[in-house]
Amino acid sequence: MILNDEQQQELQKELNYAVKYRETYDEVYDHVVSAIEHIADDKVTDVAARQIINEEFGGYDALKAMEKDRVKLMNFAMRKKHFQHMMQFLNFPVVGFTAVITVAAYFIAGNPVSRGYLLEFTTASAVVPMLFILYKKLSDKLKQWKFDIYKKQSIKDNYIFIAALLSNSTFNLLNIANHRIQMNAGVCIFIFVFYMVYVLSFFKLYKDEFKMDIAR
Amino acid sequence: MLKGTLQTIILKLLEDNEQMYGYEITQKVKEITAGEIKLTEGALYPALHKLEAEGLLKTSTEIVDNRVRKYYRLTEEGGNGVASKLDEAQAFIDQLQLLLNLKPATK
Repeated sequence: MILNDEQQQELQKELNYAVKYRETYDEVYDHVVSAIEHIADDKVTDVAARQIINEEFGGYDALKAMEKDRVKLMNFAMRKKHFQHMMQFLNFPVVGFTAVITVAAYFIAGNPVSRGYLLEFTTASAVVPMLFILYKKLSDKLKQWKFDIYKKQSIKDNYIFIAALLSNSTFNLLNIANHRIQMNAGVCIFIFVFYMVYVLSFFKLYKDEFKMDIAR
Repeated sequence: MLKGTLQTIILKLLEDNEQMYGYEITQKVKEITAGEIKLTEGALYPALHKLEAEGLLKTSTEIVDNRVRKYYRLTEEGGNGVASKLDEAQAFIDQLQLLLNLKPATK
């Protein structure tokens, strides 16, 4: 049985209320439609759809519980991946890059004037992920508005957004604390190296998850 | 179905089929077992998500008939893990046969 537009919209509407995230919505919708397409008789669609959701997925409550578990699993996997990317900066051969920027920061932080520039540069790097994500979110919203498309929020997008926000807010806290202890050179070097690693790992994670070609 | 075997079944199917989507997996299991084993989606998808989070599966999406379809495939780590999972399952079946005094199936 092939669904007509009206039947598809009805199912979309029902699922839209039941699930929160795009990942779950897309997967369950495709599953239910595929299953209905394989039903030979002409059962009323919403009855068939509800039957599939109740019998195969265990009902809407089970679907919500499944989604909740999925959010936990995906966030854990993303955190793990982000941490692994950061740890790569301590492994050969990337540790060479970490050593070079640490030594460079050591010399720059030696002079109180250039230390200020180092912190300004670090501030800019900590803000870049957030600006990047805000730009992406705005351009997505604009596209949705222009082409009249509604897209549900995504678990991966949310994690990336939180990682970007964390970058900026943690930096601000560290920076304020550092100013209170009169811009200690060692703290400046730590903040600079940490943020270079954090931001580069962030973009690697983003590239992996969204197959973004930075060179393009 | 015995606990833990679902992940082995999924990994084996993906090893044989390169990439599959959720509904396709349920149908394949039904077809192979002549309808004797029916995977419920309430069990299948959490298992797929767990394998994905563990890095054994990766996903890609395609637009099919105006809807998004999510395909699962083995990662390199997942591919390497299939043989050991099958060995574990085989060892478990052998132990079960011993416990139940069943004769090994003849070919």
